[in-house]
Amino acid sequence: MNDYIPSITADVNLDEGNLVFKLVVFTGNLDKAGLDSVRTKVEEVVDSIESEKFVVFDFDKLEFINSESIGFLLMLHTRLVKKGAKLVVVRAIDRVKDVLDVIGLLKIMDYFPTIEEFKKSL
Amino acid sequence: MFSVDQNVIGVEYFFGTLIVFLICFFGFFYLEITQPLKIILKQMKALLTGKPYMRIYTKRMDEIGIIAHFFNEVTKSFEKVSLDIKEGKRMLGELEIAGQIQKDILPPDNPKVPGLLIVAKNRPAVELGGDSFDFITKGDNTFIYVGDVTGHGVPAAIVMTMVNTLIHTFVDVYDNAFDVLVNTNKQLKLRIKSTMFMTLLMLRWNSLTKKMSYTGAGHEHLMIYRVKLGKCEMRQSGGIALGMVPDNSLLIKEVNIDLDEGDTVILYTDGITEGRNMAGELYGLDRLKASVEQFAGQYGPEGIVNHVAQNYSNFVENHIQDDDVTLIAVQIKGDKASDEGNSAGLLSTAWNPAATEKK
Repeated sequence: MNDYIPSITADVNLDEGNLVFKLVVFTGNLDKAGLDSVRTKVEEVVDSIESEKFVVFDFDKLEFINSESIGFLLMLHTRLVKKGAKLVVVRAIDRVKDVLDVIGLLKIMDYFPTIEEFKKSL
Repeated sequence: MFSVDQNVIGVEYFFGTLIVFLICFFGFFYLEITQPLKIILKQMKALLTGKPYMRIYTKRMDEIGIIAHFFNEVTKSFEKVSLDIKEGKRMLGELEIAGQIQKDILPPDNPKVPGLLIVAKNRPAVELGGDSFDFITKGDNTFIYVGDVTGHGVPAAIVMTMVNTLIHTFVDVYDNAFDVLVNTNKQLKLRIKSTMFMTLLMLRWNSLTKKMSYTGAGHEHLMIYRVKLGKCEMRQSGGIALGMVPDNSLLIKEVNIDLDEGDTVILYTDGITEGRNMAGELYGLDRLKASVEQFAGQYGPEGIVNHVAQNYSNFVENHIQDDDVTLIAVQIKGDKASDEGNSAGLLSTAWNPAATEKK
């Protein structure tokens, strides 16, 4: 019946990151099945930060995000703020950015159109 | 003779020994194999015929012991499965009750409000849904809201119930949507975990001044069908979803909308725009807008909702939808539409796209 197969990968780019931030690149769909498959990995990244001040989520190749995943981002952001850090989103495609914007997430979380602009802001 | 006698004694001795051996053998066979097998078979027959059976106790480690142990393990699993089924049935029963409580919270019929024609349709994806809507009249003000909690099922239903109660409480205290939603958010944030939130869009209609305003809390677009233009105006609802920050007072605002008679405001949840067809395509905002524009020129709010619902159902076909769906049309009552108002006020809010076929 269901020929739509959700898929997602979350790659931690250690070369790109440094002592200031950790970068996680998402590819695919963050729907129910997608979220379940990357939840633990992403949480581990967030929990593993020490001296870093930011965890950067690169959404360039993220095609879809549902409200549960946004709740997950909110939870991660809250967790990071308690540790004195922040969650930052970069390069979301219009559809994904609109959803983040509509729900009001970008009112409490920083967003940059490119990684370079984020780096400039440091 | 001696040798013959010796032979006879030898043969008798042989047969005697053989008989004793056979008695011992069969005795042993009966006691060690047949009897235990009988006991096992008796319990197996009882199990297969649905009669009460007992556990078989043995310390034996041979084949008989293995069969007895196997029987005990199998029946233990049966008992566990049977308990699980009973527990499942009990939980299903409780879910049904919870689902009914939630249905009772959502308004069963569309309300009659002076100056407005309101038609809402809602369909939860599972027993309990995360979508919520209500119409509350207090004095000259009528508050109409649609909301969507993260996810669905039991956690979403509990949050939805909480928000509904808070809104009803604060509508009694405040005469504007801004204060209602600021206070609802404040109380909600104290009570829910950080992964949950509820997007909401609230309209306030003053039947005395005939003015409408909206207050967005991170919800989907507000769609306004302008009858003179025959087009939909799309506005971002703005604000931030309820439960995201402890204080949303600087992030939400109540905005006036200028409406003419016959204009229709459409509220919806993302179950519609995120509905997928068999190919995995989204129904999307553009299709929803086009569908509203197609039908709003010909029908009143009831027709709009039913035809858009049908259009959505035709698009998604048999693809299983995993989200709740809510669609509400609020029309500023013109003289022309006044007759339809009587029937619209009695309409059920249950989702039934097939209703268009009756028209």
